[in-house]
Amino acid sequence: MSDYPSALAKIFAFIANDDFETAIAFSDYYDPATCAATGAPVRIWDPVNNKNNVSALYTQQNKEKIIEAALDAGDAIDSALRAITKGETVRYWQKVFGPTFNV
Amino acid sequence: MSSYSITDTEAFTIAHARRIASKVATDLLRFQSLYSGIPSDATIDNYEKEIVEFLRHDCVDTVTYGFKRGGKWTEAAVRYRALAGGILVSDDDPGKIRPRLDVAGASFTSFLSYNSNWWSKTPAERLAVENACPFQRTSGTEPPLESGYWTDDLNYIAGGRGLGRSTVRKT
Repeated sequence: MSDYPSALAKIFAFIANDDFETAIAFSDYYDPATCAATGAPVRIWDPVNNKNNVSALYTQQNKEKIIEAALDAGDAIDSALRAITKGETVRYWQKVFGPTFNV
Repeated sequence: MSSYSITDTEAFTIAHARRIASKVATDLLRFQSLYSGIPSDATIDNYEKEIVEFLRHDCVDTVTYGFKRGGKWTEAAVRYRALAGGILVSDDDPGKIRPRLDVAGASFTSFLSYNSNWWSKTPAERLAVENACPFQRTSGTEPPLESGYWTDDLNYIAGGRGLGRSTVRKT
């Protein structure tokens, strides 16, 4: 992967589209199918403990804020990709990486 | 003591048209990012080039882009209306396209309506504008919405002119 802006945009688009319906788990130390059942709005499993949802404290409201932030970041990246001046491009990237970002 | 008033008018140039069009293209790119790669980059580029031409010649009244199903616009659509010159509204950043709307069985398309400037041009002038566009439109009638209503949200302004955007809200 050499197109970092598009890769980053895809991550944010995935978060916005998936709505955290997909559990995030890793198969290095256990079978992801063995993760404990939970009704938590966000499920991100500890890579070495299939009983520990590291995002268990995230509420529905927290989840919605993360999705909103992912949409805003996606807006900024796509805006940067289509901007017609360097100044505008940098301004949009600063919405993602902060005001000190420059090129 | 004398008083003076200064009137400063900025000519609308192709640079202004490109700036507005780039924001429309960003909205279309947001659809691509959020709706399985549709529309394609080539389609976005073509729509962007077309709206540049119609803006610089001040010929567009409304243009709608979005997913259409059964002859009607789905919720995943945006409509732009040309704003009158000199209008005072903020220039917004593009985006705020909603994800996860139902576009099953829909295809991405566009509908453009001309303003009175278009019809006051000679056929040769209209042909020249059309020939500068990367594709030619065919005639048709504006598709209705499947459900909901259009509501204004963002404005894209440059050089004293611009486009006001509407998106679909559910009733």
